[in-house]
Amino acid sequence: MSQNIKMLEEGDTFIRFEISDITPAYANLLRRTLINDIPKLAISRVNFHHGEIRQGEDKVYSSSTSLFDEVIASRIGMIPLPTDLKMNERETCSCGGSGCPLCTVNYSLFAVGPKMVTSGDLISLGDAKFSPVDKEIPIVELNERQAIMLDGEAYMGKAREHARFQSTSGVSYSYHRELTVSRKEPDVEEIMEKSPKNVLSKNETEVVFTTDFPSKYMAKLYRMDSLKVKEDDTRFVFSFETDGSLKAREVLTYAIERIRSRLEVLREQVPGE
Amino acid sequence: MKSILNTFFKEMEVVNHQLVSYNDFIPTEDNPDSIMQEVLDTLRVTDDDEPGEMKLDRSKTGGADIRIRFGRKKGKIKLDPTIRIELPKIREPTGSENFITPLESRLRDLNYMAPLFLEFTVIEDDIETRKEPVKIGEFPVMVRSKICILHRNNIDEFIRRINLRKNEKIKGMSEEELLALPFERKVQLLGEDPQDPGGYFIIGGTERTLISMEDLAPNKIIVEFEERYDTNIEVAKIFSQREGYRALITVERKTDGILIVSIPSIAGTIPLVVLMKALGVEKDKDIYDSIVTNDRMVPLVYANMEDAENTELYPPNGIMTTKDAINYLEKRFAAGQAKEFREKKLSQILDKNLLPHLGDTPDDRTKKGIYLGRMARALLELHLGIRKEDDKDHLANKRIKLSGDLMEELFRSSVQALLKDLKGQLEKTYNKKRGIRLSAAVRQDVLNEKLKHALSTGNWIGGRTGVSQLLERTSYIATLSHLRRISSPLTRSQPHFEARDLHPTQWGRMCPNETPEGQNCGLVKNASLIIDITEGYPEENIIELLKKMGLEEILGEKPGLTRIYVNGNLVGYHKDGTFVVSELRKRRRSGALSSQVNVRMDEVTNEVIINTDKGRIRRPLLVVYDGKIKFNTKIQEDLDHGKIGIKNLVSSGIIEWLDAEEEENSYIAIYPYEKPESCPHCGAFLYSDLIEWTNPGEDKVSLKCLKCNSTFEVKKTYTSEHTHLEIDPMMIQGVVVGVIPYTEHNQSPRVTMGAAMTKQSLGLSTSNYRLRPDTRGHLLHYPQKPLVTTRTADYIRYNSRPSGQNAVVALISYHNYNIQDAVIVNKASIERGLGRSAFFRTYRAEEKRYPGGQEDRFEIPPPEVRGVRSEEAYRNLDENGIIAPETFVTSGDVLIGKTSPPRFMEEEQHISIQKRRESSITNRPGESGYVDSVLLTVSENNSRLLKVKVRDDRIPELGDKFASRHGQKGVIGAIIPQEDLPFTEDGIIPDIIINPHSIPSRMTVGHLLETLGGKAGSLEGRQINSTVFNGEPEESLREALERNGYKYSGRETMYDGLTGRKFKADIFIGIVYYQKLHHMVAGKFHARSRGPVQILTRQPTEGRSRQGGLRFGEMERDTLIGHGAAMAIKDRLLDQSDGFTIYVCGDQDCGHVAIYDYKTHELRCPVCGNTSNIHPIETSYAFKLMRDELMSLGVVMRLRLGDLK
Repeated sequence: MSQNIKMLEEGDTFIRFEISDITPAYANLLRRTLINDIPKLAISRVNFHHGEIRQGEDKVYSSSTSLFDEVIASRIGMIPLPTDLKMNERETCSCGGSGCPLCTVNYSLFAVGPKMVTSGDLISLGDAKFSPVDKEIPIVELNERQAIMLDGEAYMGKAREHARFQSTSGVSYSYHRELTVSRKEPDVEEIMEKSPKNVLSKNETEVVFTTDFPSKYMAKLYRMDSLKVKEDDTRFVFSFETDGSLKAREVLTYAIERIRSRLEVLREQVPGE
Repeated sequence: MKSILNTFFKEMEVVNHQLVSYNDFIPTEDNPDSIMQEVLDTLRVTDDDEPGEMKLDRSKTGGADIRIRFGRKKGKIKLDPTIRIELPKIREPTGSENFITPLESRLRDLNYMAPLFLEFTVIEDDIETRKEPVKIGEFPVMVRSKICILHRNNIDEFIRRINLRKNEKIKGMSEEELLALPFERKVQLLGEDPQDPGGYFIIGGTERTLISMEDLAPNKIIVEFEERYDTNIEVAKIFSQREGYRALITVERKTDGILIVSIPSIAGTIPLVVLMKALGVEKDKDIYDSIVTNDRMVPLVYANMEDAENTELYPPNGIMTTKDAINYLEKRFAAGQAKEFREKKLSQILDKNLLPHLGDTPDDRTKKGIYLGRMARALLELHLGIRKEDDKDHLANKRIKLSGDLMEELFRSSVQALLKDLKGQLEKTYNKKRGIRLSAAVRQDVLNEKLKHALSTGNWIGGRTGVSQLLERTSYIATLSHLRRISSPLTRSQPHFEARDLHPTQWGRMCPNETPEGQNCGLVKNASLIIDITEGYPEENIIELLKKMGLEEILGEKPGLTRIYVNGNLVGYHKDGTFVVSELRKRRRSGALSSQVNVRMDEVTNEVIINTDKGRIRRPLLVVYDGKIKFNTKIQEDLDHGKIGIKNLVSSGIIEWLDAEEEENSYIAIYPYEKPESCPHCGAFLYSDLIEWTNPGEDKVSLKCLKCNSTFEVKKTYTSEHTHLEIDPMMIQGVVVGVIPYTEHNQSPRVTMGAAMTKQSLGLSTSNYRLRPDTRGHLLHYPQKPLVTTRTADYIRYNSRPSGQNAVVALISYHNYNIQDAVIVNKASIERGLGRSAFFRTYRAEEKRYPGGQEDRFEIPPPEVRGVRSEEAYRNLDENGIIAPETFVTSGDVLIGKTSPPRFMEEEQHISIQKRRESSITNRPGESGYVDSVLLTVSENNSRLLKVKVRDDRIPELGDKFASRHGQKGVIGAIIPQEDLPFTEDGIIPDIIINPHSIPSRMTVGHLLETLGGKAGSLEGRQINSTVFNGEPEESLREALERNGYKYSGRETMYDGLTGRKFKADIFIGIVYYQKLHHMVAGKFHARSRGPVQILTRQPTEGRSRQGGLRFGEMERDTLIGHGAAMAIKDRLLDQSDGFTIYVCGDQDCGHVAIYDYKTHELRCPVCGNTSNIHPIETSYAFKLMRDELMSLGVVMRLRLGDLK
């Protein structure tokens, strides 16, 4: 058994890799960790200013918008914020959960209509590095007599608690799969031509494809009469994306580290150690 | 064809029928012959008055002859209308008069009504002395009608009247800028949803719609068999109707062959021949001619004529002449009375009660006699088998009463009451010197109250209930459907199987699927997508035309002649019926004859039936003549560019409106051509979006594939045999069923259920949701337009007022949490906003004034007030006793602090001075939320009115109900964290998991197609067209999936989120539009341990809203008996209910209930005075109550006590 990880594709927010010689349970452990056990910064408390909002001498705006406060709060919570994995989690922070720069980032939002308020209007009160990654996520549209003023408190959390703390999406794996079809099938040549990476081997009579690389032409194979499928449940092709709050590689290494430390806890408790 | 449909929706509102009908009724300037005017012209204040005027009683006017005209006199010259209506206004208690908008009416609980003026002409001794317009009251205004502020013609006037002060601006705009805005923006400016269809009224701040009524056609002879004591007898019936008076006249054939007539308000029946003779059809020849058409009828008629001459039955000489007949009837109905009275009574019967639609003067009697002959003829034809029984459920025999017609009925009776009252007032206050003062004598309240009462309760005249209903606002589509509803007057309790069945004539007129389930099934219907309900056209014009065409007005029947009927009346004969029909159609199609007229040739009975009356439901069809349609590319372009409209299409005979009667003469092609399955050039699967008919109207149909832009020819399907061509078969469905995708693939009852549930779904019902003060309202936070949609949805603009969300749905079981139609929902999806909605409840309070100058007060109740709560309870209120917006409130929190003056004769009175009462408004028990808005305004009575809207965030929870559009409903059975759910290789985790067992037995194939379509649509970023009969075919969807790298089957490899292992089977997964229904656990869950009891019985109250107990019913009791759990029964039925201890006198001869005497501190029997032998008895309070009630009847119930054995 030689566990092996092989990067297939990697970007800032996207990654695809292969792990061989593990069991489905093992793969699932990694998948589940990637989904729900990665800390992420998200605005979790929002304080709204109610009543009139004044700007300058004569401009008076109403704080009531077409969306309700709870909807706006929920939307703001979902905005991906750049996350520093070194930041403390609230409950375990030295401040004892009351909120301090080590575990909390404060944001403020002020906008007057007419305007489409976006995540770009959300200003980090602390370090500027915490301003939202994507500046164009719409929050609420204000008309000419409306304004919005609020401050938000962001802290670290995990998707197990709430989906707003989820940094990854599309986390999945597939078994390594070999699809063997007869060369006589009408579309085979075309598929081979259009997805060369998927061809594992070919001879006069048969072609062997793999689904390890995404190709939309592969779907046609499943309707072929000569199709033979072979799957290997020890080889897994993983892929996932992040929402920009963390880099894909960061998430992956954290996840693996996280698994290790969770097992470490167990190891320490084994009696007789 | 699409161009025609597009034009329909460009020109007409979805609720056009309501608006047209109401506009027709209203006396606006451009409608001088309004129905309302007609009502006044024909109204008789009392039976003795001439129509349109009233005559004051001479004995009360000192002999002066005073008449007051309020209607127009009938005559050749058209007189000016006497009735006039303005725009909706309110007269404030301050005296100023202001226009009101619908929103203001809703906010301030006002009535959206407009002042109504009637011009009275006083005629003294036949000389017109003066004319005076008087305001007679207010009339309810239909939103978006011609007299609504929101109408295009009125909105500018309103904006000008807002009376902008110099340089003042509204929303940053000056008057000129406001007026220059597009119409939709102006509507928004008034706080209204530009997409609101209108067609309803606002009474007391609530929106009310008038349900269209379906009824048997009046003035039409219907023959049928009726069962009387095990024998079938033939009956000819007619509902004769004239100016609101309705009379049922029947002619029956008794078993002995004698024909008898029954007339309303007359005891018994009258032999037909006798009645005809009394009506002046005296000669046997005339009677014979008016009935007989067939040799076989002759003996039957002879028998009847001989019967009338029978001297034994009709002594002394039988009934031979009109005089004999009249004498006989007078003797029967007014025996032994004075001659004058006898004549009057007979005139009442013959002129008023008998066939009133033919006239109400003695001059009309002959006409009636002959008409009765015709009824007998139809009856005998049925008897002899020449004619078939009339089909009561045939839409040709039905008429629809729309809002205008219902308002007409209401107005007739209310204005009559007003004028009767006016007459009385004038007679009472008449004074020779001062003359008559009209404006002082008119009591507007008489009219106003009647109108308001009927509209706000739904109790119409004639004892009908539920005519006006609170407009549904659950979702936009529910509102539309409610405004298009048609109800039948048949009772809900009786079976009426035939009436509930779908009738072939409903094709294209009423939706085949949208009807409630249960007792109203098939009786409550909904209109199809495009219908027209006739407004009526004067029949005189048609008769005139027929005369020119050679109509023969003769009495007897000649063989070979065609009978010509106009609106059910035989107006004469013609030698060539086919010619009449084709000539009339030709004229109508060339615009020379009103399009309101429909003609039918009945070849079996050789009759021409012409209808011009109002209330016929019609549908539009393309005219096919000689195998050709007139529609062509040129017309299509003109339609698309708006150069011509529907009117032009109708007047040039391209399309026409057919009623059910005329449709019997037609042969309609459903499709214009044979659509090939796929394009012969590129092989693309063809459906409506991909085909263009490049040469409509030409003989060789040439289609263009929009995928590859190649043209090819296909076979035309309409031939010279056809008379019409369907515009588009999707029009047979109504608005609700129309938005359900792939309906033709579903089992019919599922479509019905899907439609019923769509109406309960939450969404964006109106865009002015923040302003509306609805008592209850819902709003879905993230409504989405459906990925799989229909053309109907486009036409009704469903996409901008949607009511659901596109969810990723997998079809598997998951640890049995989705058995029995439960659904499993992804917890992360919910956290991201799936199915979140807001619930609003508006509380209202008014500073009411009481007689005696006292009034309610908004304030924090001071401590001396009776029933005051703790200071803590009022913590959310400001000094005025009003709560601030965005305050969180829960059960029982005070929203509005209010005190009321003491009640008269309060029990505490003698102890202290009267104290004010606490009467605060509190949040409902079991509900919570944030105060959304607080509105302080002035009510109609010039008192302060406060409305507080509380908003509750409703996040989906266990037990909330969801449904797709295919009748697949279910409640949430589990909310599962995303990582535990199955996932695909792309990392897609379903939002919802439904059970595969819900598919096979229900056969909702449409649901599966929608899954495929949703998936294909999401992959290609397009909305899938799934319009009924013309949607994108299944193959095309599957190919789209494959094109995008998904399996052709729609299934995917999935892995178990718990074990990580692949499932053995591929899972069917895709995107389905799911709707959150308004049955939510938050509004239903209920439990009680202790709580309020009823005062009378001391048993726990009933119902959730009163924190009631949960009934421990008979079956529950049986289970405890079965277990022998006696103490458990006692606990449930006594201790936890109305258990009560009474003290009973133990004296064997007494046994009365004892009392506790507080002065002596002892128990004493008040009857026998016994103080020692008294025992406490545990019993139910209900028993004690019964004892007390029996005592009040003078019945003594003695309780004999004994020891337990």
